[in-house]
Amino acid sequence: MVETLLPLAIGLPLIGAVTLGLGGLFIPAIREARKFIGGLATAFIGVSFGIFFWVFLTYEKPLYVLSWDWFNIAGQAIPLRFGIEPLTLWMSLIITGIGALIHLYSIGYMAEDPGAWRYFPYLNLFIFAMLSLVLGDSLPLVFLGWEGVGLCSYLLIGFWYADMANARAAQKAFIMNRLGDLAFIAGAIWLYSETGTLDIDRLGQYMYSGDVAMGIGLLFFIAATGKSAQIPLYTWLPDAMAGPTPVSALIHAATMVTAGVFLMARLDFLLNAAPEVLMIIGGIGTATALLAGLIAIAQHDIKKVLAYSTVSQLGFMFAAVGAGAYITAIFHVFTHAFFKALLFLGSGSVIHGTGTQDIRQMGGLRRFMPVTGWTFWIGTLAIAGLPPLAGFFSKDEILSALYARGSAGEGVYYLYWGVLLGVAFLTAFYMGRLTWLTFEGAYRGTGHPHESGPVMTLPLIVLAIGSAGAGLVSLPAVIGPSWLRSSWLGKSVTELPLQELAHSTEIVLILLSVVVALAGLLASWLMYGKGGLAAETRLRGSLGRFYDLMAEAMRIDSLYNRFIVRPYEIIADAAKDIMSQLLGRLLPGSLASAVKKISHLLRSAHAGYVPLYLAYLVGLGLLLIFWVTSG
Amino acid sequence: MSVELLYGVLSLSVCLFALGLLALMLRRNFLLALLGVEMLINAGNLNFLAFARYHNDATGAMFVLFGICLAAVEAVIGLALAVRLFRAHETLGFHAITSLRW
Repeated sequence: MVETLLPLAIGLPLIGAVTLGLGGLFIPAIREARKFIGGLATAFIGVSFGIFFWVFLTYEKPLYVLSWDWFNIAGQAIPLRFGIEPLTLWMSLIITGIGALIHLYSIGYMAEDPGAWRYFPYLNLFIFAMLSLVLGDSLPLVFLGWEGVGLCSYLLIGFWYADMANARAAQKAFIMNRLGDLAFIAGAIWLYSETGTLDIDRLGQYMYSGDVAMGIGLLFFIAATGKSAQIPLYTWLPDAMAGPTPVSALIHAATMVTAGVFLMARLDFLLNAAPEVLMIIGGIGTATALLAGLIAIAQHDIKKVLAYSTVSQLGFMFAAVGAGAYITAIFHVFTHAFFKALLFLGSGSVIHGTGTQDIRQMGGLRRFMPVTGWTFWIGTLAIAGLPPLAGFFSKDEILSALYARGSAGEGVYYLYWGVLLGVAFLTAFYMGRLTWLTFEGAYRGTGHPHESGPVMTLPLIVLAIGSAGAGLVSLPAVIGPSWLRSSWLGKSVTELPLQELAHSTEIVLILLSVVVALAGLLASWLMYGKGGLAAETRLRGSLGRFYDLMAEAMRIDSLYNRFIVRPYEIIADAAKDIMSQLLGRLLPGSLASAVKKISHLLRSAHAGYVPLYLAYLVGLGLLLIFWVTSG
Repeated sequence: MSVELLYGVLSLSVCLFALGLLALMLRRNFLLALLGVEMLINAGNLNFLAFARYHNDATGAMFVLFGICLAAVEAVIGLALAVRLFRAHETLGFHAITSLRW
């Protein structure tokens, strides 16, 4: 029964994308039925989620469905199949669950947009690509999804393509992702040449030598930095907010950026064999978290703050991967999906209600839009890590995993832990700043803000409940066993063995993270809760030029432009000049004169004198006869 | 029919063919070239007949009927061409008919 429904769960988003897309393309009349298209698209994802949830409830053992051979040449077959096991099923639940809520919200958000008929098929395709990425048990299928989400993000970031800036952002996202994809292909080829298979299930049973695991692990990590926006390939994500806001929610919460973290957890067998790679991953994650956290403080665009906070939280996840605690990383993916979707959808509601994205033009919005305001507060407190909201549990688990790794003798993890504790403070601070400036104090704008309709507020409420309660699936060891680790993900993900911390140490660590979160929120209240926008000028005054640097995103983009894009353009120009000289002058000149000379020679044979042609004919006939008889 | 006679007839046929070919290549007039073609066809016919008799097989003789038809058709088309060519060039000398060259 389940086996028959699973292909449906995987296929429904694709069916939705194809039917709605082709329908809108060929029957212009239904383009106007935006609510109908949106409702149908939402229903497809909702049903898919329902099936996955049912499979989850009745789960007993791994299931493999839809298996076939991609090709089979000279005994080399590449089999493809989808695998349902705890990790992939868990991700599918996040993708379709959060995805369905974002679809529902989009019906309200896109109600006035004439392009909605394009929007919903893209959204459905996005979900399908992501499902293929996580459920694929063969690397080619994972890669199909990997490229698919890249394509869909390109289509959706550049959804309003008439604006050049959006089109550029879409191209930037696509190209930066392609850099990572290259590493993915290289890693997959290396794996195949090493093991002769691309089935993840079978790859996991292979023993890798340290060097091979290190090389392949690094390649896949580079791939992950593209999708999951880590240094050095993170700059596309803040620009990706050029698309409609629900798309940002989808990219930042349910799909796309979670792919890299997921890939790390999926390839646990490789990383476990390469501790050096784990150390690098931890370092990159920590550095990314710090960099993005600093940038987020000085942004004035509500979506930019959230985008950098995503980059920062992804840094936390990679730090967890670096500690070998893959389940913890997935746990943070899970809780982050709730509050980041909530925050982005909330910001969409704000943008919808005020018509601006600049928090300097907002303020006091909670009075105008109470549902958005209260749910946004819950999201803020959750991401800041205030107990008992979801973000507290996952962030605390990450920090204690790093601390435990440090106390096991690898000192560099103490450094990661210390830095991330600081970033946790930054998180609480910049999120507090954002929320105080947006929802509290006096309204500074000129418009008439209004609350959004129930189609948009309902997902907010559901996500707020999730943000509050999602942490309960994995409690700290002091309180009780973590359900997620011991009874669910532990079945399919093998973490690096971690020395358990003494309970007293763990309680101190928990208290420390609570204190840090509270301190960040308190600092933001002291500055922005009391001082409002005036505090911004004070902050700028005290930080001086560093503030400008943060506001300009550390000028990483211009750095990339100067050291990568510019040299590339110079080389391209030079190549163009060389080729135009070679192909445009030199080659045609000599070629043409040679052809001309030969032609002149041959021309005399073509006299137009009929008897001469006849003589050729006879000569040729004689030659033929000679050739036939002599042979 | 003896082998010697066959050789004799075949030699005659070859001579006829060679004469026709020479006429085609050397005569500078379209009409005379047409006559050359006529000789070529008849050389072929003669060849057919010689072998038909030698093998006592009527198939060769039948081909000759086709050959004669072919010659007739060739003459019709050739003469029609000659008329058209003369109207266009006011001569039938090959030296003037060089429009095959660009």
